[in-house]
Amino acid sequence: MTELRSRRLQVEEDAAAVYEEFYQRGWTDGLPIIPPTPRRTQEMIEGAGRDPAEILAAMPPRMAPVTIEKVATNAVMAGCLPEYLPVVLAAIEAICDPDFNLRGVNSSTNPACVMTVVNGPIRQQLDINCSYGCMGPGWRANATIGRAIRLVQLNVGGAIPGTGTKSTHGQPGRFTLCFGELEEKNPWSPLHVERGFQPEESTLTVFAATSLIHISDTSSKTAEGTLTTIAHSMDYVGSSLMSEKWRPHVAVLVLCPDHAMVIQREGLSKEDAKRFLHANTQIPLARFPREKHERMIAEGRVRDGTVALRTGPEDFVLIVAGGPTGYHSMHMPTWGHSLPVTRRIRTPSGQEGG
Amino acid sequence: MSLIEVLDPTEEGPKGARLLAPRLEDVNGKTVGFRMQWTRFDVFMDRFEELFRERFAPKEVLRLTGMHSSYFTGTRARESDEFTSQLDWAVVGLAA
Repeated sequence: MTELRSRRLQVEEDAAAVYEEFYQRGWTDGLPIIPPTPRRTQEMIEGAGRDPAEILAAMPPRMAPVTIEKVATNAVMAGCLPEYLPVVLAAIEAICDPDFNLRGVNSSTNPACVMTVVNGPIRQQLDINCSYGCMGPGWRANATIGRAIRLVQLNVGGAIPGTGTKSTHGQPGRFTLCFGELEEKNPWSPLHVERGFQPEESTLTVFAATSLIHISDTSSKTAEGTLTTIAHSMDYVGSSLMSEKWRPHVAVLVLCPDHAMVIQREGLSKEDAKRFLHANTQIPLARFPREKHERMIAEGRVRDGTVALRTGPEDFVLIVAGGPTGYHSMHMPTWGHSLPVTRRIRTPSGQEGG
Repeated sequence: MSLIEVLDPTEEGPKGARLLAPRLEDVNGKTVGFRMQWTRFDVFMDRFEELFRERFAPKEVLRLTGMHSSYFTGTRARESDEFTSQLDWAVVGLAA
């Protein structure tokens, strides 16, 4: 039996009463929760085989210590099964990596949210949706893992709207946004292999996604046509990717399997596609407000009368996910000063890689 | 009415409070810095400096523009350190 250290409360044994109590205390995302009883939390921790007192990190903006116990408690509230906990723990470690800059992600006025992309065999083991509707409702693993990540930010990190987070609007992705890459339909290397892991390892990668932009091209039959549509759906003046040149961040593109197939069948590699996207996301200076021209020129951002969306092809991240039919891809600009972070998922057996 | 026991999902931050630097007795004759973190802070800063110079006689007013958060290393970190080391008093603009 694991020893739990959290403060305990007595509440009426009624689902609605528990929800009301937690809501009034500001401990929920506004949706109903599963009561985090000591027994449920213990089962969650024991399933992962971790010490409840272990501290994963200090989570900004509050800089409170994130223990396994607190993550498990919030995972119970989110509706996670015990076997999901290793994924949530890896995500918490990832977002607390200084490269991700969670303090900035949460305290900014930008709507950035944590987007979690899972790779490797754990996708099948946990039934993480990578296919039809993978970013939407209907899958317990996707919904509750992403929600647990947010609840930890709220309850431990202090990312409370208006105080701990100053996001002007927030966004639906701040409730939950977690999906798997459909590696089986990816004609190139999957994300985690591209980032230095083995195909049989299970990993997750977190991004500070500012929005989800739908890109439809149901009629282009060539790689050039498809990539042209995609490029010009990414290169808009108000994109967070168009902020100052020196801010390190990436342009995420989640290709549907059909778009990936159209691009790859002409022999283009993932790097070829990135080069095309970089070359074709050069925005004419005239599209920007005149009052900004002088400064942009002074910053060295204008070349041959155009402004590059990103500094190079390496700033484009290509993932394949979504239903195997349908010509709809998604683009996620990311918040400046935040870099994607990938972590290996440690499974209960102690194996790293699931 | 039956009760159940539940766990508090929250955690507190560090207890130690950060101490503020001692308040300056006087800004006259001091070196003052305006750190323009956000691009539109200049709207406020220009007016602030105008009023500041009307009412006080600083030794010098320095400005630092652009992002200089702790994320940066190298040149930007050196610029920030050099700027900070010269100041008696600073105004940091987050937004305007």
